[in-house]
Amino acid sequence: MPDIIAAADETAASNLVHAAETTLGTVTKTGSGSLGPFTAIWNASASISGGMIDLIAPNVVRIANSQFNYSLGLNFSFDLSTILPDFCLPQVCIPIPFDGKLCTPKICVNWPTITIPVSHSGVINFTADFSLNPHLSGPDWLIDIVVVGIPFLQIGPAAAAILAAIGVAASLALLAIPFIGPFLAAAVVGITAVIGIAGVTGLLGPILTPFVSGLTFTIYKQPKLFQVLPPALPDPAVNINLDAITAVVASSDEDELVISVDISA
Amino acid sequence: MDTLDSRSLRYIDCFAQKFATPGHVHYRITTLAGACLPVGDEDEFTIEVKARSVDNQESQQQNVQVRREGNKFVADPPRLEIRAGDMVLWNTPDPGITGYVVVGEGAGGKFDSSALRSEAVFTHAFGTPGEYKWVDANKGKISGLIHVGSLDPKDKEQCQKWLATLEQGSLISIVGDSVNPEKVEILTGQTVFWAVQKAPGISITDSRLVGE
Repeated sequence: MPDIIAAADETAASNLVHAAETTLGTVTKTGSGSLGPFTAIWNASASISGGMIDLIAPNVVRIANSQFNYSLGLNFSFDLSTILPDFCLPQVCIPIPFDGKLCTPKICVNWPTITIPVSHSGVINFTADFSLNPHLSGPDWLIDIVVVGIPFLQIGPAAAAILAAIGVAASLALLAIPFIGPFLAAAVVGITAVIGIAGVTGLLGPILTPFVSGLTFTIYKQPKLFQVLPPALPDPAVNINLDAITAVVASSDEDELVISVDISA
Repeated sequence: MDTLDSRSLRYIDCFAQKFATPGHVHYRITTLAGACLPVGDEDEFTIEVKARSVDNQESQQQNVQVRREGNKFVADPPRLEIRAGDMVLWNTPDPGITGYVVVGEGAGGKFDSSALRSEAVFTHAFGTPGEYKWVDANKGKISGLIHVGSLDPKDKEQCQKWLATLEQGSLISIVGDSVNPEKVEILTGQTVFWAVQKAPGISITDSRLVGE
């Protein structure tokens, strides 16, 4: 029989989890990856908020419809000569006042490699099951909930939005290219077509999934050894040692997160 | 946005000079910083201007390509033989060349693409739409405005028309302080020719490059 038993219903467990989400805060990562045929350098930050808590015996905390808030910045270089035709300004001849006429030579345009910067923020709702993991970490007992498996993130809509953002960013970058004139619209189409939804999804999955894979929230933290003061003198203060903590989901009238503690003085 | 500057020629620019006096011309291709150094006999590029044998013979145009070899600009061909009254036009096909000046001296006097004096032409092909106010960066009073219009990139008919207009240049004639016309309207990709008949050594420079 444990010395102390504490129970939290789903409302109380929600408070613990949401506080843990806040504590976890915003996580930032950087890297590079394939964006269709290109290599993109990216930076991403993400935080998790909200969600409905469902306690499922014997060991599952399900967070349903949690919001995965992400912000993504990526840069990739694009050699315009791969999609634009060879183009030369024709020879231009004009009569000039002190000579018959003067002709410029044909001038061929060298399409440059441009860098396209893209920013995108969004929210993806996801549901994941977490298992309870009480453990001693240094001087503290922690009760973590650890995501089970790799949660599925529905990134299709995000990929479509990012591809659209790439189109807008490409248009802006291309506007500054001399002589692009009538090739502008085709160039934007060319860039987004070469990448495609599959290309964005291929980049987005490896960026976003690690934010939720292995996701861990610490919902409870207590020093293993702490001092309890007496209600009145002359009793001395007593050092209490938490020898063991267990956490389970118990199902009776209602589902509860039950924490059991063995102590010694 | 694009800029233009006859003091720093690029692949979308040309400089042309008429040589009316027979004799030996030597010149160098340098940067704006090197344009103030005196032209000497050691300058490697030459133009031999021969007397015209027949008076009514039409003048010719000779083209010289500017390229870069290591740290040096080179002219191709390095030696040219022309007739008095012929024009020589310099241009580089290399978009990597960021700016050069042609400066020389001969029997007919000095010529300098960064200080246009007599019977010289500067051309610039405008690559991006916008308003381009040009001034003389060599402290002269002349100026003008080029309006470069854009076209609807989704309209294929416009594209065909645009390609046809690229062959049409616009001329600005400069004599002393007189500029004609002062305002020119063109489409993206079109070329403007500044023909300097007589001037004290002017440049055609984007006003933004001189802080105006």
